[in-house]
Amino acid sequence: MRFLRDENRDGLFVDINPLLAEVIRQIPTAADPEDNEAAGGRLFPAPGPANSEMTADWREYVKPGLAEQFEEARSLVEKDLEDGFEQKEGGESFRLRVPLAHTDAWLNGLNQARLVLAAKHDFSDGELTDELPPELTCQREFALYQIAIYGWMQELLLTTMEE
Amino acid sequence: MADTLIEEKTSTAESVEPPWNVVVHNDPINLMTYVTMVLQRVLGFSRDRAKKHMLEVHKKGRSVVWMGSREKGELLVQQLHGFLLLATLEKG
Repeated sequence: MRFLRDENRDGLFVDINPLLAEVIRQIPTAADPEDNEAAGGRLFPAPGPANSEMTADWREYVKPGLAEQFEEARSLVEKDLEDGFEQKEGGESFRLRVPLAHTDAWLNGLNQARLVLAAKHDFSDGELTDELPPELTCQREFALYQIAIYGWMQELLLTTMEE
Repeated sequence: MADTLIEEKTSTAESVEPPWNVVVHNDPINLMTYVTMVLQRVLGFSRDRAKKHMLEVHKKGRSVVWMGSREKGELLVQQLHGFLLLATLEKG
């Protein structure tokens, strides 16, 4: 996979192989904390001590707005995956267009996915920084690949923003 | 001699609000480049200053990125949470 920016500064992920395309399609699902307490807790961390008045106010007044903001980012990512993902004619590789105006939503959506996956699988700092497992034998190992791939996409989006 | 009005300003412990600190905490998931970008955007830091704080977070586990009133601090923490950084507001 490579990343380019076109004349409008829209982002283009190109030469995406079918396996990678499938991993990318799973971003919205991966970003959904469902009912997982650890994942929800990571998306909405307390601003202070758990039992403080500040944190209680936060839950009541700030969390709903953040939830809406995160949902909007996920929806835009989902829309781009529906509208901007295309298979190269006559080939097996795919390309994905990320409009410049959606860059922040993508950075946020990719981050949500990485944080939720890490929280759901309770990865240690070591697991997250070690080399990836050589073989995929379970969902937990697959999640490590997802975190790495989504991080790679974030990095590509970030490093080309200021060019 | 003309009367002189002396205005005496006094302050008490109740009237002076202690400063609050906005603290960013380490997180093994958030990319260094991403944290740097967020600190630039939310706090208006230069790239160098943002990098310095990002490295402090990375090496020491936390960095005080702002000090001031509680109201403004709450707003900044909310913005940092919007970017999914781990941030807290602490009494200085």
